[in-house]
Amino acid sequence: MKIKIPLIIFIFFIAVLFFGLFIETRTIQSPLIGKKLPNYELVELNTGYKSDIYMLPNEPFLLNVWASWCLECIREHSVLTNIAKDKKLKIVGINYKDERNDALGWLSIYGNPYLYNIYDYTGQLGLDLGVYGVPETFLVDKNRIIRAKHIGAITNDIYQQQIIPMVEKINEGN
Amino acid sequence: MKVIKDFIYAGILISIIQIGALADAKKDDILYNQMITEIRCMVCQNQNIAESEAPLAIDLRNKVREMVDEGKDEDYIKGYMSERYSDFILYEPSFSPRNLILWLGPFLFLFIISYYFFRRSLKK
Amino acid sequence: MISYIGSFIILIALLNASLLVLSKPILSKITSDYDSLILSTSKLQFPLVLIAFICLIVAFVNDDFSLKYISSNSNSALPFFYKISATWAGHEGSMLLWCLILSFWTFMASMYSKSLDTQFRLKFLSIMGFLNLGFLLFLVFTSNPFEKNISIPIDGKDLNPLLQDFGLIIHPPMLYMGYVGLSVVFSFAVTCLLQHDFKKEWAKWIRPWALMSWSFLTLGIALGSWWAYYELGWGGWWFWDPVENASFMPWLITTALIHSLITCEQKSMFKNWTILLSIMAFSLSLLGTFLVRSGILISVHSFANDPARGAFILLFLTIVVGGSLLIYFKNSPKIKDNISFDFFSRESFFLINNILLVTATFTILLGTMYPLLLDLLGLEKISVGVPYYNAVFLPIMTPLALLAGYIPILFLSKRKDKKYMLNHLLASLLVVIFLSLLSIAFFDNFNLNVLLGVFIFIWISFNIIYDLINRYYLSKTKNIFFTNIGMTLAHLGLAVFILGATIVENNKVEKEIVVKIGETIEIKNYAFKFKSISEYDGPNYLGVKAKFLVYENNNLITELYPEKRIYASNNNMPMTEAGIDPGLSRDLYITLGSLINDDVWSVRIYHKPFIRLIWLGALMMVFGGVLSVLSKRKSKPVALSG
Repeated sequence: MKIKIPLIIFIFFIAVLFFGLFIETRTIQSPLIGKKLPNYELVELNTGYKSDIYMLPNEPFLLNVWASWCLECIREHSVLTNIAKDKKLKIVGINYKDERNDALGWLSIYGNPYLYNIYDYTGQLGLDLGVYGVPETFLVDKNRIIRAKHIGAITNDIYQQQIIPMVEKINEGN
Repeated sequence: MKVIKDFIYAGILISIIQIGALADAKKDDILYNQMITEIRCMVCQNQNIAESEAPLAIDLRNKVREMVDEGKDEDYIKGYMSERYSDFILYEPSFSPRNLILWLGPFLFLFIISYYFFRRSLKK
Repeated sequence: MISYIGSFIILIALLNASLLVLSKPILSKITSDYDSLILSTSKLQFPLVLIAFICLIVAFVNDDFSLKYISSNSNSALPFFYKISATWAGHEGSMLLWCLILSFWTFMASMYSKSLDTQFRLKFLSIMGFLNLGFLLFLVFTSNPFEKNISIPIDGKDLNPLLQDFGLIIHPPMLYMGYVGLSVVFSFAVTCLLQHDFKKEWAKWIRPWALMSWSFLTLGIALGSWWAYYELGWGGWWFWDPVENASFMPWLITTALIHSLITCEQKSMFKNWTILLSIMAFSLSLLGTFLVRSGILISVHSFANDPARGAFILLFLTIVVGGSLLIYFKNSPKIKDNISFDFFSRESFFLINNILLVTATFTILLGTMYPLLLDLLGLEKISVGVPYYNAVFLPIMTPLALLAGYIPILFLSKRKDKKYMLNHLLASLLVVIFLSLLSIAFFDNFNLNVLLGVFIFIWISFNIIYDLINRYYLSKTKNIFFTNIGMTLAHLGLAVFILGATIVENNKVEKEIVVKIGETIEIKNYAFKFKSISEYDGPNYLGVKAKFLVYENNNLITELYPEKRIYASNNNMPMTEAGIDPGLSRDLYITLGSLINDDVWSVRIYHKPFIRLIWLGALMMVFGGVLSVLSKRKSKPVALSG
């Protein structure tokens, strides 16, 4: 009898270690999901006009954080271009901690899938959004509520299998 | 040889903006230094932001400095960080039901094994 | 060529280790002399692994980039000494070092176990052989340092710059000596279980091994802490990183073990408990290996993430720990173990010592594993760090530290005179409180924590030294100094450590500030003048070096040169080299932050009072442990027979 309890504890312990081997340890669930987008007072990257939360699309859209110094963003860019062509979903960019000329040059080389870009030079908006690994992408609904977040480059699979179904769900909900 | 300075420079480009706040470093050094050792670097993950040289860590240090200079207290700064980056960013786990075992476990353990051993071994 | 020899020798070592494990009936068919076969194979293991290890070193020195391990951990521009130390800087090589040290301990165990009963000795060595076999299999199947590259690169990727450092050359070997030394204790304990007995003499035999492992662990941990302090650039000496915890847990348990062994030896009590502690100590060192090498916990120290390695070690851990626990629960009731004592007795206070140490270990285990557990349950990720351990670990350790100063009093009272003990306690308490209060005068930032730290320091040192003198008067033989000096020194080391840690954590001054060349920063009675900054080429990096003139009360005392280095191999992430002026009463510590513009830099300047006491205390513990071993060996030999 006495042996049972330690044995159970031991097996439990080994099981924790075993399953621990297979979990993704690096991505952290954002506490902002279900919360409203933070306010910001920034300018648009290209025009330099003021940009704030009221100028966002009145439908679910992607909010993509990118920078010209970010190598992964180049890989992601073709996917974003496809999404833009698809016309199902608008993409608003946040140009994160970048030099304006670098960013504009980057867009002219790789194309511009964005509705427009919010220019976050200091990274304060990024900080408010809990950004830590560019590229990051948020799915935001028309009430400016963050519904989902993806850290790292978006792929076609993620777009087709995760984002599209979520958008449909959001649209059905309304 | 200019290269090396450029590298170091590039990493901190953005923090320059907030350097004004840094210059006034005399007050609240203790709170500042405590906070930067208790906030985790999200990019490098097992370093605090005092140790890390990642751009985000530098931003967060500057943010902490800014808040300290504004007279914000420890709870405010921790709240600010965890609202944006989740509790993961704080090295101090919150005292919530979820963490109850973590906080009370050791004392419970102490009580149980003390009781077990002394009941067994003390002369009656 | 040399790498083929290495691979080949490893295989021979593997065969050799399997011979040790095979049971007597099988081996008896091969040889008529089973006993001497076991004895010689257990000794042969060490030279074999040593040759393989030397092969790897030679391959490193010759820049043999046809080996995967070398091409990813070395570079032709790497300085010579780092090429040698790179041998154990990565996962595969450090595993080979682990095997080497394990074979060394096996060798020593084989050499110095003549006094044990033959049956016992052979079983004991077989278990050591089993451990050797397990780790060699792990090495060969998941982490072979002699694995070839498919195509040979022109040059290697270079050694991680953090590891290009003296502290990190000696830190792993010392730590492994400790970790692996516990395998001797473990095998011994399991043999006791198999023999259904744990004799007094056996407790006496195993204690030096436990003490040696403990000393090495202490040294390894202290070196790691020292390295982190000067290398990581923020002046911290302990971070409660999962990997630091992984080394601290076996240390705590081994500390408990060397205390419980005393009771075992002198009173024949706590036999089963001591056996359990021995098993736990080695199990925790295996757990540490798992945590570091599986990539399961995110840590600065982690080696590359590879689930296959993790799975293998976990399997091995399950077999070793699970197996030994099963044997423990099956056989321990057969070992006669009458535990019965008064509350006011030495045994009782040794038990409290053990309970507190085990609880402390449990706390660290919980803190290390809890985030993983929450993650598995799909709950939010959390971090457990310094604030948690300050709040939970310290309250558990404080009574232990107080106890360390009280134990000697109990040693004296062989007559069990409670009134005498009480008087003695009160008297020393008064003296210590008086001295502690006096110390207020020396601090400009005094609080309750400091008072407690100073109190514990004086309490332990006062009582422990008083105890030594007292023993001398009681026994009237000078020998008493020799046999007790180890214990005294180790406890004094603890006191010194506590004093240093308390003072530095409560009185440090840390400034992060922007300085222009020519400007001066003042901290306490020190002034730091930012004199100049220059760039230079290192052997495998580019560096920027600043020059600070340091004045104490307006007299120039030293010059400090904090640096920033950029190693091309490290994604151009700048590395910090602190400029440190060490001193017993304070360290002055400068690190370069970032460049603001041409001659304006952000820098950190720290004043760390008495931080050296932390490592001085640890060193005293190490020497204390070693002296205890030496004095035990010198003291009259006891005939050990089955």
